[in-house]
Amino acid sequence: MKIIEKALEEGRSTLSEYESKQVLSDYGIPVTKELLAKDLKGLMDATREIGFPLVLKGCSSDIAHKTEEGLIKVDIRSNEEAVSAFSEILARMGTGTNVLVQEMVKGHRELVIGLTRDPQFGPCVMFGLGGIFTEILKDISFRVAPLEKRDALEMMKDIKGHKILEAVRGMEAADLDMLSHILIKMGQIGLENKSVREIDVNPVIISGGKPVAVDALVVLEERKD
Amino acid sequence: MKPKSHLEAFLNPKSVAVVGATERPGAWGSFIMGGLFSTNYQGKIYPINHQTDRVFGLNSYKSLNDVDGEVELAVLAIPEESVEEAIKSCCRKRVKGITVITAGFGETSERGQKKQEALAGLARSNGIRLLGPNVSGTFNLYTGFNASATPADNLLRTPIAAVCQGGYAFYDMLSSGLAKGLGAGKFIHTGNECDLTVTDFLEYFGRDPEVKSIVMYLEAVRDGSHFVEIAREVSAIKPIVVYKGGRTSGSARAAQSHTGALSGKKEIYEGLFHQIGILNSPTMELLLPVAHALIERPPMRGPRVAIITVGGSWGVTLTDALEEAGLTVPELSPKLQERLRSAGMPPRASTRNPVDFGASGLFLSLDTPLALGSEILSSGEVDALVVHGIGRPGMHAADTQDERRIFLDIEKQQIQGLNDLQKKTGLPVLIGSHYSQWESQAICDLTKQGIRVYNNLSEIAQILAFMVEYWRKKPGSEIHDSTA
Repeated sequence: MKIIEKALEEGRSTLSEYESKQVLSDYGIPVTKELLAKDLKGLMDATREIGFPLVLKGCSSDIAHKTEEGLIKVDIRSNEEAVSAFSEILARMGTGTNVLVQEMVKGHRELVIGLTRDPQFGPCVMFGLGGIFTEILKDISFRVAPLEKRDALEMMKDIKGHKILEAVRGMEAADLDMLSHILIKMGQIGLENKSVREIDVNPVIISGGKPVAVDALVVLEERKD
Repeated sequence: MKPKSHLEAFLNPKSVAVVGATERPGAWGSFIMGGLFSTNYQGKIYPINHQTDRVFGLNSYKSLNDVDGEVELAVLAIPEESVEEAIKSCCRKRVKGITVITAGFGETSERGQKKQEALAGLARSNGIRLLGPNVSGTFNLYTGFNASATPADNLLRTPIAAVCQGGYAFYDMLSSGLAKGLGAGKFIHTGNECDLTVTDFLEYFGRDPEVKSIVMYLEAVRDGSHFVEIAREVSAIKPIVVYKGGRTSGSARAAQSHTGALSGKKEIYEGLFHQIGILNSPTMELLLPVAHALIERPPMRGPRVAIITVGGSWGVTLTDALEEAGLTVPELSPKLQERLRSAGMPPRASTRNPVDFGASGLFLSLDTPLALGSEILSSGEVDALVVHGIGRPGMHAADTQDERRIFLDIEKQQIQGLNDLQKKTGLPVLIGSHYSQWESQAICDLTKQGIRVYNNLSEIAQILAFMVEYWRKKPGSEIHDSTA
């Protein structure tokens, strides 16, 4: 893939959030509507295009985990707020940075979907409870690519918290077909792109029953030159 | 190269040479000879020993090439530095297979690893397959062939095949299993797998009509995608039960992402086994009991279990064990409970499930327990029955009082009758007792008759849980909803 090739040529080992989501999107995985803004004009174009509420994120291929850096501003509801947030981010990161302007997805349920490369079995897809509890609960399951729909459905049932996908607490049932599709496609990305080493998609937010990838990180294999 | 015929050499060779055969006690060369003599092996045994002419009454030869006839399998029980020469000798002799008992290769060092790879290459370039190094041998009780350290009188011939990367602990299980009617009729220890791997024998036993189930002790799969392909095929036709060792030593390598950091070996193997239909046993000890239950008992079509006990608290603790293993102990319907009352349960005895036979005071009845069991199993409300709390302590002696003997006979008949319900109703019936066959005359006698009596509640629960998991995946199974 071009995005991946370009990053490798530049000697980078990760793709930015924006680039990572483009890879996912190319494989038909639903991602947040988003645009990159380098300056105020770009920002205004983006807010007009996407609408409110918004999330602004400092976007760079060097920042793998943004909350710790304070580079995310959520629930932006007006151009004024957008400008203010934009300036704060640039102040932290320095000029010449891109700011990712992203639709804000509302949903209480957060999942994690990932890809890793096992030395014996090749690309393996991960599914589990996401958000800030991922590493604390480690409620996850794996399957070896290529996945069939049956594997995707079963791996979602394997986690302890699987009932969260049902119609619980007044929320709609999560779209299991769409989730299965995402899991299968993740495996495909691993099988078709040998230079992809790992992928984190966390969180995948269930909004109105539909899964949307809200953050993503693609890690590349180091070039053995 | 015909892989199948070469694998035959490890299980049914017409001739076997033991290189390093010796009478010296404690040497592997003498263990293997002991193994070979402990069965009615009809093939030719050639001891190879450059120091002596006779080993255990057989003519021995200074080298493999001094043997006139064909040698299909060579078992090497010699020091590491002699192995290479011995393999060259095997190549000249054109054996089909070589089992390298010798340890001290890849499992100890990088240099050892390279050495064993070279030996495998040497063998293969001569069309020979190599098992090991670092193995304890192989046996096949169907052909009376035993080139392993365990004498055949400790082994039970069953249609279960064992393919293990470790051998020694497995022998313990096989030997202690004999008294419990557990065993493996065919056994392969693959060790360092410099040539043949577990996958090769998984494929072989998958095709073997004498093998109805396969158990495996695994530490590391070396041929990932091939293993997945073969395991998938084989698990579709016969149950495979695995213990994956080395679970807690997760090898999460330095990763830049959470996914990488979370993907320890244990989680990946768990997912994989699920995916390819292999049953993942939490302990070594469960391997044989689960394999036996899957091939000996009728299918379990759902998770609902009925309990008949003698002693209320066995019912409670068994319920805990079953429900913690994911099964259900449903309350029996009022109509069914009525029928149980009519079958003879007095008002004070609970019929809700568990059904406490002890509280009924009907210890001496022969008809009532059978009637209860039949009603429960034919009701459609449960998928299996467990009977627990049977057996009285103590073995009988010549001077045991008559009342005890009479009671013993009645109890045995009750249990036999309940056990027979499995065949009559086509639903699994498991008999449990806290007493082992060495602690209770009843359990001893019943076990000798071939009735399995389980001494451990969590074992009963795990076996039933695996039965539900296995049969759920079989096409044509009707799944009974636990809320039905």
